[in-house]
Amino acid sequence: MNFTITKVQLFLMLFFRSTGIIFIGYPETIILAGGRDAWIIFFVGSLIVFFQLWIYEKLYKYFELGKFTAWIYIFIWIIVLIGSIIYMQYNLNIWVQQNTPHTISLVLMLLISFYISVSRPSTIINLPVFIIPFIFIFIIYLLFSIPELSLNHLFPIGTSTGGQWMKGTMVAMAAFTGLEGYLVLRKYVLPEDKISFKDILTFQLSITLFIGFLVIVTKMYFATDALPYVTEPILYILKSIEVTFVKRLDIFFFFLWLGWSIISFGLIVFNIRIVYFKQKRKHKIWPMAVLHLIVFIGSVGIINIQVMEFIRNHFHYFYIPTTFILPFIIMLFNRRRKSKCAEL
Amino acid sequence: MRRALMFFVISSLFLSGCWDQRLYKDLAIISVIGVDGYIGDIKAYYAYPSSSDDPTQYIVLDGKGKTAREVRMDANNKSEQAIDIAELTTILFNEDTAKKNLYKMLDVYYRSAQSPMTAKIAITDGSVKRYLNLKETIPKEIGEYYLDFIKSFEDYSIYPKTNLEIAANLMFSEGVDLGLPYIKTSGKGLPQAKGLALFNGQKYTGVHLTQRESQFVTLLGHGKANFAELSYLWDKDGEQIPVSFSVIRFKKKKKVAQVGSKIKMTYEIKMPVVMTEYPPDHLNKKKKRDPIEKFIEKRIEKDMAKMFKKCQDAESDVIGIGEEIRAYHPNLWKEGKWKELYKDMEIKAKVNVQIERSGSTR
Repeated sequence: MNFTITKVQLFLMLFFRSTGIIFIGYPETIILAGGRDAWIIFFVGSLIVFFQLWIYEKLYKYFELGKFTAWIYIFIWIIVLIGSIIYMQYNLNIWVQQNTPHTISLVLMLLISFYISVSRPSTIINLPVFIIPFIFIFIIYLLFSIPELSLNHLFPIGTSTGGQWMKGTMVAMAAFTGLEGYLVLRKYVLPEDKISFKDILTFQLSITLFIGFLVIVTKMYFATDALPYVTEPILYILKSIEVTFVKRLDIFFFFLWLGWSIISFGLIVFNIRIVYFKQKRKHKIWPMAVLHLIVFIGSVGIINIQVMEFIRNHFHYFYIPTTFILPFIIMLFNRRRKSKCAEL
Repeated sequence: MRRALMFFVISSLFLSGCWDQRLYKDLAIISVIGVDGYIGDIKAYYAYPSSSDDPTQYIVLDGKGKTAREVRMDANNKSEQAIDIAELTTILFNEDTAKKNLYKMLDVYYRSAQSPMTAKIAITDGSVKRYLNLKETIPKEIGEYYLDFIKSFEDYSIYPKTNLEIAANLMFSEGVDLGLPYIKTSGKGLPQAKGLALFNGQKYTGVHLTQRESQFVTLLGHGKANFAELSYLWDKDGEQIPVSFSVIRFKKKKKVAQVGSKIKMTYEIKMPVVMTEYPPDHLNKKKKRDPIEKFIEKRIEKDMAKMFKKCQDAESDVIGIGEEIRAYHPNLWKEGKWKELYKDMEIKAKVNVQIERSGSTR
């Protein structure tokens, strides 16, 4: 595939890939995993990810996927796609469309993604730009909940156990799932667009502040024992805010989240597209059609509470193997091989 | 042609919302619900406007059943339209219902993605039926009436701001308890706010504070809303003098100490006020103002002490002292045993009143 991107586009894509899909429910997961110190654990996890990104930048040249590793990644991303679409569809059924059959809304969402996936790369590269203004609107409306927030919920600090810190850190890092996209997309950044330490710091700060804000607002809003009763705390908070121009703020932002998630979904498909079409392929459209058909078949029959809970309770286990272990094995292996070739 | 056909086929998919369409003409838009009884034997009343020309006209459907959902289904059988609670403004609960476990009765509303979390909740003295049979007396749409009624007390810092979401949330908090508006009506008269129903966890304790005590709970636990007004009668040298004032600001500092096995908490309150009623006048003179300030301070301290005692006796930490202790004095906090410590606490208020303005007369 021939395309180039700027570093701003790279970071925008990463931001939307990581934050999309999970952000309405993520705060609950980390608070339940990390306990009272969850918000501190999140910032610690983010710091670890920052150093990981910095190492990525140093070693990205060695991230070259062979046939086998490419298929491993494609397989993992398909699983992530299936999990994501189930999560989106389940919430759609809960919050807005109780009676619309799964198949219809699934087909609709997958059709949009399919259209994006067969369009020029510039379509998905530029799509995140449309969401940017809504991020600020979303944050402003969440700030309406300030009178109901209690600072007391954040304290005392240092009460989480070792186990909570371990699990909490894993969940904290999982907020950045999809970071392997950095390695996939980094090579397409214009050579004159150098990525500095400051650029990575700015990106990591902005994503940390966004998710950290959601975690802190949720922690300050809900009593600890009330949180397990709620599935998507951010939507509950929005549902409790009264405004004059719209009766239900949660529904308004639910559709924003859905659009955000479809873009995030499209970015995962874009990763698959880059890796799959790295080798010259005869057909351009059929593989994408097959991919979407696999996602449809893989999800349509299992949209239920058991699968949803499984996804909620296990999504954080994806981060370490896909974003940490596998990339570092690939990069270190290739680096070693290249240095041996140079010696010969 | 093929393209046009494709366009129409794909566009038809966008009609997927039709499965979930709900037309106004098919729905009975419920604005107030009243609940008597408890799980196993519930009776509920659903009020909805019946005339678009006259908003004061409304119909009350009643339903009986073992569960909250069954009651609604029963009421639904008595209407040609389907009951819809998307625009619910108020839920009234009989005090006997609230004494058992209110969360179990609220769950049906809290869990539903359709019900508005902004709905107000109030506890009634006696059966809720009377509060919905006020067709001749209520001056506006019943749902709007109850919503405005409760909101006005929130604006005057008499009730802390509460809605379905806040109420459910507080029922799960150990360090702070729920307080809900307690209303009363006599016969066909309009409902009156009688005070704040005190909760211990998910149950109504059966004790309610007076309006004045409720106002102190709101000021101490939640801060001043738009307004806060107080009025006393000063018995000075055999003469009764009205003393009324508005609170300009309400600033509090909390001091916590451990005395033996007891926790001692002192609120230091600074309260600049504007006088709104004081017939003897001459408030421009300091020597006139000082005794009034002292009188107000004493009365407020006395009323607050009464309020603290009532809350402690009812084991209802409606101000949220527990949250404060847990957050900033964790060594004094005992998880799961807070109420045992709370009821034996020594809670005091030291009030410092300053008359900052005297109104348009001196």
